[in-house]
Amino acid sequence: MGESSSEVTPFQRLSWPVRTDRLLIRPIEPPDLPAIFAIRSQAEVAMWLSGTVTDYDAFVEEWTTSDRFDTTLVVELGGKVVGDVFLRATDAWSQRETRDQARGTQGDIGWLVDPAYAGQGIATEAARALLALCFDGLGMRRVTAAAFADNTASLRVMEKLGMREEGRGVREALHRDRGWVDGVNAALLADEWRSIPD
Amino acid sequence: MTFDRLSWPRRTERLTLRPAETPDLPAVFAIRSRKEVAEWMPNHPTSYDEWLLKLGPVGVDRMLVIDLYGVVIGDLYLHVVDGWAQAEVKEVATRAQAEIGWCLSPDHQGHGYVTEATTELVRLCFEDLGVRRLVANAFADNVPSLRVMERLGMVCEGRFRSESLHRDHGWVDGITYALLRADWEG
Repeated sequence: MGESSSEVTPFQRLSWPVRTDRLLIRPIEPPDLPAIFAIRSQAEVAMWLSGTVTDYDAFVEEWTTSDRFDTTLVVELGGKVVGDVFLRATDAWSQRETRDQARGTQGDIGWLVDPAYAGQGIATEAARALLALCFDGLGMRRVTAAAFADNTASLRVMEKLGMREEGRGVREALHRDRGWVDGVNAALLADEWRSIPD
Repeated sequence: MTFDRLSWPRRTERLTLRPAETPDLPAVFAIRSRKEVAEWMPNHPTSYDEWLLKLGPVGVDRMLVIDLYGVVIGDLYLHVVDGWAQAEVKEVATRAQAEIGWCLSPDHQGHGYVTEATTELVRLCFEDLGVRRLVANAFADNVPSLRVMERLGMVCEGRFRSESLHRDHGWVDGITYALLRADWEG
């Protein structure tokens, strides 16, 4: 799906599905799209997403022509899709002479849970699995996450994961309803993650 | 092109700033190829031809030269970008932000030339280009650059642990400073 590339994607280097205490996490497949749309088209979810989705066909078009299928995992609880998470391999910044060593060493993660299932720690459980995929599965050295500063639920997940708030971009992001607002960047290094007690 | 919309050159008390042109490039290379300069720069060029090739027209379009009585003593970086925005309001954020940077010959350090040049660069961004937010990035250990940011009134927004790979120092912290037009005007 999406832009085909001869390179092996990060998802292809991992084994699926991933199971946590309560959840099953696996790469998204076309039959998941209606469930994902049903979650993402809710106004309270769209509040913090990069775009509102209102039309199903337009949503399918966007998701099948971008890199979404290479970067999105669905989260199942008892066989039902209750959210989606993303995991994208990125290149760390490097001076030109060492750029090859920085390629794909960083992960960017995000999460979203159906409001009907909020308050049960599902996002935290899924995101914790993402960290394991990044650090253990893909050997990454640093994982980042970003959110609107007012998205307190997401900030709380970062905190529970042990991610450090590293930056706050003052009025850097334009929100469709709230105008220019702050953004927060959080990160965690592999060494730090390995030192977090279970 | 960003610079075409403005009138040139810009003069400050002691300096002239203008878009880089081909005849300026050997002088810029002579500065950037020095080891002590390259320490904190994105690359350490050793061959003029190779540097020019990688710089390309895009690199030249983002470069201003700092001219001191006819001598190029450094360069400025200016890259206007779209602000981050949700899809529905993307147009409003078009060209709303700029990243700035600077590089001065070690032979001319200690006279406040960078501050003088970048103060004008900031004014140009806010007053002439209509940018609403300026960003500058540096290695956390590049203290002189951080001082410049502070003198410009920029505010430290983040320190990113072990995020950047340095050719000699390995993985090191990066720092981001920013300034909003509203704060600059106030």
